[in-house]
Amino acid sequence: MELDALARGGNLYTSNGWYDFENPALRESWMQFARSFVQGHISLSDPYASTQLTTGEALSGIGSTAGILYFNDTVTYPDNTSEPTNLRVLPLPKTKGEKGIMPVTGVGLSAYRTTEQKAEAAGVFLHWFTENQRNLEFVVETGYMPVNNGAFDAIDSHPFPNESYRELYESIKTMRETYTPFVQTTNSDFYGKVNTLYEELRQMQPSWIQRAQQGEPIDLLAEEAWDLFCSVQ
Amino acid sequence: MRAFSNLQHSRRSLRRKLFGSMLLLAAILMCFLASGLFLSGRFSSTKKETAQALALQMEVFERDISSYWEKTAVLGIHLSQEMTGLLEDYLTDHNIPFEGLTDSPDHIAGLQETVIGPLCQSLRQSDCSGAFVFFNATVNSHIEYAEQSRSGLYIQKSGNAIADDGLLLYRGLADAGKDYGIIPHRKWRLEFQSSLFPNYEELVSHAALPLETSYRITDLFTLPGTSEQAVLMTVPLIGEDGTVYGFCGFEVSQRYFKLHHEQPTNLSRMVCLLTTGGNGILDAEAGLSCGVFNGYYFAPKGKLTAKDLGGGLTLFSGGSSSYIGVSKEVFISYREPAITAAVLIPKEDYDRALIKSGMQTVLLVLLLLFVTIVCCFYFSRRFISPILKSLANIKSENRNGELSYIAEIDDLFAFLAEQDREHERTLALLTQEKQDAQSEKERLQDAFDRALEKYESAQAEISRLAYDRKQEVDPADYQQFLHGIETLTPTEHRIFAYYLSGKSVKEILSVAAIKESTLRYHNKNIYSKLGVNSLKQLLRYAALMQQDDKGKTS
Repeated sequence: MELDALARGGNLYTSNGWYDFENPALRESWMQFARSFVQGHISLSDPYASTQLTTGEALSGIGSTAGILYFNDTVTYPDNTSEPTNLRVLPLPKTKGEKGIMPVTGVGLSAYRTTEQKAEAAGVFLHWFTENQRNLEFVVETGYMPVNNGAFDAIDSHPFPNESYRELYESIKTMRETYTPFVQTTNSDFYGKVNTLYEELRQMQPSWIQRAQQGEPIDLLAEEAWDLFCSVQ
Repeated sequence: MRAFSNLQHSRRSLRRKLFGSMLLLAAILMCFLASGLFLSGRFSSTKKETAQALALQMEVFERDISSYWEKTAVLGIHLSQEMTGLLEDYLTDHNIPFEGLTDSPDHIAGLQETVIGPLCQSLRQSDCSGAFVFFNATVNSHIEYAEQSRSGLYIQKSGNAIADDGLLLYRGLADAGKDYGIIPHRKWRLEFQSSLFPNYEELVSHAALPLETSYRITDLFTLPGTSEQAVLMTVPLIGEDGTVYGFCGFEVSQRYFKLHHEQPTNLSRMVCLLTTGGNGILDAEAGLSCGVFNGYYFAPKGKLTAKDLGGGLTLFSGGSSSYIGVSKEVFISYREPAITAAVLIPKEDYDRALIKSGMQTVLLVLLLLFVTIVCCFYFSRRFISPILKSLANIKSENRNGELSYIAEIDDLFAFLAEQDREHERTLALLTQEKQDAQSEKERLQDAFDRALEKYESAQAEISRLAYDRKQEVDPADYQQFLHGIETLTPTEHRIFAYYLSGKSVKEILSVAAIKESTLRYHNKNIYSKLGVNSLKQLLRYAALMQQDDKGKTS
């Protein structure tokens, strides 16, 4: 939703670090999301998007690259029947006709410079650690993104453990080449408000689905969802 | 021996001799010290200390794990009773037999929703990484391998803290966990597979009341779908009528055990094992292991062969590494084979300690040797110096110098001084005696000179008188006398000599052992041959003859 709003233009955040509800692009994107959400077409996952795929509740999801580590190799249904997971990985969806935007997050690697010798040792280690092939092997094990051009170049010839991993890193390579990186606000209150919003949406979704099934106008329900979004301050 | 004798009798200085004696004394003392250390076991102290340290660590480890598993067993039994009670209550409330759970998704979901709360609570009360309960029922008995499928819940702590709020659902209905904020494990499955459950057949065969003897600890196994290793404390769910409903218990993962049983110790790379063993073999990878507090350890791989080293230590040799340690069979549940606890340190650490101890001993000996030599050198010098100084004083005859402050030397000097005085007195006496003798000699010389002078005067008088007599004697008679002597027989000549020597007739008779008549016969012949008439005339001519002989020789 917010990536779609970003692609449509305008400010995503206000100066206080929360969403700019005056931005018509934000409202338009939200309403598009909310119309599907109130009908139950979209589910807000638990901490990991892979959970609902594992239990067969969902067929597709959007998650972080590192989420591939958490995908179960088997989908087990409530009647205890199961089938192997056929995981296919694609680049992040983008607004039609617009350039794709990809949120980037993560942590850096740092070392305290206690002595000149240790500083040099840290430097030597980082150079070793980020060598092309070694970096690629490490990120494939951990689901992270490569950190240098050489490692990206090595993706095509890398022996991935399975096809899902190959698709993941090819998608990462595609996105790196064609998408615009985006860093979410670092405002300390932001994620607390997001969690509050998610929790309230999860609570409201069953009733909205029920009301939608009973024939209430979808736009009306989506408006309720917008009001709920705006109420989180 | 000869060399020693030569050395012993060689001419050496006093200082060297004392230095050598002191060194010999020091060497003897060091030999005694070394013997004492050897007898008191000081040289084997590293082995002894290691054995004591490991024995202590074993005691601590044994107490730790005994207490831990006892507590876990108590919680497990309590969990079993609670789960059994909840199950039976659920069956009663819904008026269904236990077998009615199979193929009933609703009842299975209902049962899991009933037991998940208490199960989570038990897990949080415990010091374990997971808790489970499964029933001999399945949600779908019509699928392949359904006979091995068991419905239940398996919850794990997502972190390593004892009271970690984050829980993962490894087995069970995802919806049941969702209400408690429990997210499915990345290798989640709906039900248990008895074929993948460790020691399942053994557990089933021992499932009987009382629970106090039916809880078991499984072998170490790898959780299906993961690389995590764990052991399970299992307790059967047994109804009042003896029906075995399933099992419940706790999981202790290797990761969790390692973190929560770090041992306080000074042995930096100690490893504690809780595994199976026997017949001189310790299977290091069949059980749990932990290391030292805030440290790292290298867990042994594979099977270790045990060899007794004596002194309470055992050498555990593996394919890639060897350890020194102690092992002991411990009771933590009724099971076969029994569990063995082992406390080990890498062999290279032990070897390093031995070398270090040896080096310390060598350094100590070298230091002692150095100090001994220096002390011997210093004290021999210090002790001998006053003696040498005194001897120099003796040589220089300066015996009245300063006191040496050594009683024997001062006494010696006093003695020598007394000797000197005695000698001086003796010398004075001798000098006096010499002077006296000299005076006496001079006096006697004077007397001798005077006597000689008198003698010469007398001699001159005798010569003068002899001359006078000679003048009175008839020269022809005297000449006949002189020629007559040459005609005397030997016997007559001998008797003539007796007369000349002044002997009397009696003395001649005695000395010559002849009769008087024989003497008279000889006398007559002698007188006749010499031309004399009497003995008096004979003696006068003889005196003249002697006077003449003396005059010729002088």
